[in-house]
Amino acid sequence: MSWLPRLPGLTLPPQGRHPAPPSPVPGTVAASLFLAATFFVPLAPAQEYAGTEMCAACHEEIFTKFQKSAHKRIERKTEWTDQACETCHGPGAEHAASGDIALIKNPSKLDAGAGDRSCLACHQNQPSPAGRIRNGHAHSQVSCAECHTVHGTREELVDRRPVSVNKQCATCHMDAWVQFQRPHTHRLAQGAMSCTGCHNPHGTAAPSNLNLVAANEPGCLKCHGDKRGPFTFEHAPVRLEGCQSCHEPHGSANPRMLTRHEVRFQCLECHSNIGASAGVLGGVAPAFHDTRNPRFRNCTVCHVKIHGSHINRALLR
Amino acid sequence: MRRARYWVLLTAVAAIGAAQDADQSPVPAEPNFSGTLDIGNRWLSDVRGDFNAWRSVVNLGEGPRLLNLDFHLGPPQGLEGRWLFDSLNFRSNAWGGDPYNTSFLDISRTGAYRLTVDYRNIAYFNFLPSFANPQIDQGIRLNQRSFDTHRRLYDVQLDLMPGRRVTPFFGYTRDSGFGTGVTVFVADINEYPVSNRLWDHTNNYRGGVRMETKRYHLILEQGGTTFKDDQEILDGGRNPGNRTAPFLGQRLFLDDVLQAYGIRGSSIYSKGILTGNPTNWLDMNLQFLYSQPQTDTSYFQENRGRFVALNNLLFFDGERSSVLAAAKQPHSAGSVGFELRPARRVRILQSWSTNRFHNATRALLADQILLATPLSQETVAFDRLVVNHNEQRLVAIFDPMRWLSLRAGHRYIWGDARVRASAVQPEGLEGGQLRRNVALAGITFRAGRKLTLNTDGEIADGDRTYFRTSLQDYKKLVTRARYQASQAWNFNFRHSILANQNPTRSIEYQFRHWEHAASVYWTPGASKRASVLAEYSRTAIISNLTILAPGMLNRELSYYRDFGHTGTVLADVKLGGGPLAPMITAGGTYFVSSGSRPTRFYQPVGRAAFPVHKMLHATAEWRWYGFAEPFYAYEGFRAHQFTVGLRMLR
Repeated sequence: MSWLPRLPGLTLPPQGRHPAPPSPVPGTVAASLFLAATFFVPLAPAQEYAGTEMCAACHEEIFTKFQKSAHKRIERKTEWTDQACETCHGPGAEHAASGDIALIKNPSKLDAGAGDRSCLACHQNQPSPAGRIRNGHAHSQVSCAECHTVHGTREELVDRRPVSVNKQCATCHMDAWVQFQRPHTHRLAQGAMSCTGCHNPHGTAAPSNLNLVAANEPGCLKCHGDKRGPFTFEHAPVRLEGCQSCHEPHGSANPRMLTRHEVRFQCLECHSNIGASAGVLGGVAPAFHDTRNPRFRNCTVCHVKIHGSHINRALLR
Repeated sequence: MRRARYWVLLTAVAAIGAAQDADQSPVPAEPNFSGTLDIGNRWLSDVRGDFNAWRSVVNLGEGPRLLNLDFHLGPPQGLEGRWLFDSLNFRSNAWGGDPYNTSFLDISRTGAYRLTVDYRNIAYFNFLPSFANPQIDQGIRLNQRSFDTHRRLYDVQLDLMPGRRVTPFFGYTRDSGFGTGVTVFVADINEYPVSNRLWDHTNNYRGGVRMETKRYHLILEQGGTTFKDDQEILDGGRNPGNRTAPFLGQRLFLDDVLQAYGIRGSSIYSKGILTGNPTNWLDMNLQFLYSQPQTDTSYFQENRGRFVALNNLLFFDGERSSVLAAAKQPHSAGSVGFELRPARRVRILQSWSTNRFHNATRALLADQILLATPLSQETVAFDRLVVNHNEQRLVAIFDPMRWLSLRAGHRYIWGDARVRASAVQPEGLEGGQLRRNVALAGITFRAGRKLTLNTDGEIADGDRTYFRTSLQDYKKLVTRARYQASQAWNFNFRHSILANQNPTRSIEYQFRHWEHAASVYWTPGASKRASVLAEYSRTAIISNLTILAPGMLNRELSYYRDFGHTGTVLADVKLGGGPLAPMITAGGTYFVSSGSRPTRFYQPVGRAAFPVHKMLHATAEWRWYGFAEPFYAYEGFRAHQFTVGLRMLR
């Protein structure tokens, strides 16, 4: 038995049986076929393989780069020896003979999702916070090859240095990266963190691919464990809407990444129900504080345990 | 400390050197080694302006530094499987005194194990005068909460027999925070700034097993956490507090205070995730996540000085308080989902998720006012927080052509919460509900590899929401476009808009956020002798909300405006041809905003790399930081930063 299928999450398709595209099944027939199909994998007709040497003859530059790639392992001691290119591109004998590009599969030029299925044929058991990698980024609207260098110039298929990861994400998520140029932000620019510290591009159980900790707790608590609680006296928005209800985690012009320029506005926008008709949480305003007095302009000067208190109902200590 | 910095540098140099020596030894096959080492020395000009603001925003120091070290090490060709590891990747960043240090190790042997170790040490310094003192320029100076702390994170994960059908794994994470700060001791109608010591840590232990077959993948994980928080305030000396005027003819002050928190917490949690593709046209996933965190608190406080109890207008000189409290929060979450592909170009994604937790707490509060005859009072308090949150989502993705994807769907979010009521009914609970229907639509258009256009929109109609500023009736549109005009020119464009409103008469919330961003990347020719990256973004946040101003309880409008311009330009030029040609980089980033808190933050940068050898480069960098806030002019700073170093590559 070869060692390659024992790589983390790798299950190579057997030779001569390249992964077939998903079979379209009408909904009505689907149910009746469900059980049978669970135990049956349709076989595609075997085609001729050309071998890596043949590929290298024309695609020398790619071949040279490939020698430094982690995918080079495919060449070693497996039934795919000397056929590494064809694990992704499919049998290439006909293409090699004719030079016709229509006769070879190029995953990067396939339609949405199809290119990813080529990667997932081997990598779908790779563990991720959502269980395993089920599809490309954003439900295969962004293919694996957008972030991973398949032919590679490094041992890793993606440069995982924080600075490189941030640069990679910023090419699409410009809006987020722009916010990190604001003065009050997490330390991404200094290389202390990367986008993947909070988000997992392969998907998680939380919105925006946010990481979770301790099974079902928000990923923010991985570093901010002192805000975890449970507190004797909770501050409801922290639990109901999360840190983002007051903070802008990607960066802000306001101190402490707050979403408002002064703390009193941050607080009063919720603690300001006028009449019962509002139908929202938050109660009435703290009625006796005169915010014209400078002492009451920053609520957290007194309400120091604003994330929740173990001691005091008014979050004073 | 200084010696330790040099030791770190020497060790790093030795590591690279040893690998290079190994390269020259007569061993027939050389190890698979590649890496980069950056070492250097950083100088800082005098920080002009507010040094505390500098530390709060930038906080980089001077001295010798290990700027970056990363390498990969693997066995030589032909010796795979004979080393203790098949692959070792190591990364380390900013060591030698910088406030942000990280290290990461990933070592594995195929089919035997994979071990990852992650370490982060992040300084958190925050002392911005304007935060608590918006009127400091008028001479009004109050105390504020400030921090000079560190957070350290260790994360270790060991997978055994990765890739086999059954893979056990174990993990340990420790997150700790420690340092000092300034906080506030509140005594009825006066509040006193006092120094405090912060010390907390959370340990997370976990273990589990991954089981995989060709079509199914199951993760079972069991874990637990322990938590400890020992904050402390110990402060002495006459402290007049923020209230300088006498109260009923008496001056209030604090002479000394001791506050000791002893918070202990623990949690067990269980996680089960099943994913599978029972057929080629169906993917399914099932998750169950459960945790039960709890905390026990003991608190002691003793303060002396001159105080007043407002409810009975009693003046006194000392007070003792103690609190015993406990809180439990069972929390369960689950989701079920599938992706169905009934036809070659159609995908249907359906998911349901639920998230429920229930926080039940109790506390015994004992107060003793130190008079000739001590006055004691004991109170028992209870608190609850009950939250049920549910979401259902259905999305259909249709790829009518290879270059076109269409998406449409619906999301329904509903839930309810019961939380502690306001101060006017301290023992009561108030309830809130959440109900929101969201229509989803999107389109992706690809013209070969040259042009990609992606648009996603949401229109929501909510009739119940938890908070005044929550999303209710909103419209959201995000458009991204990428165009590769030629080998040399790449363009990116992004536009997004979010308009949210809550028309309830007493709220009248109007929120609008939009953003335009564009970038161009120019790499003329294939020689890689020059490149230019230019990015520009314009953002706006406009928020209007009716609030009830405390004090007179009159209606006012809370405005917030933020109009930001952010730009980055970086130009790389290689002076001459060949591998040893120097490379110059110039450019920088700026952020300028107007509105409620106008801010200017400039970071111009210039870099030069002079290759001495193909594996050794001399580097130099100049960076300037300029920060200014027109409304808080006292808080600005300016500083030059120079770094000179060596980069070794292999």
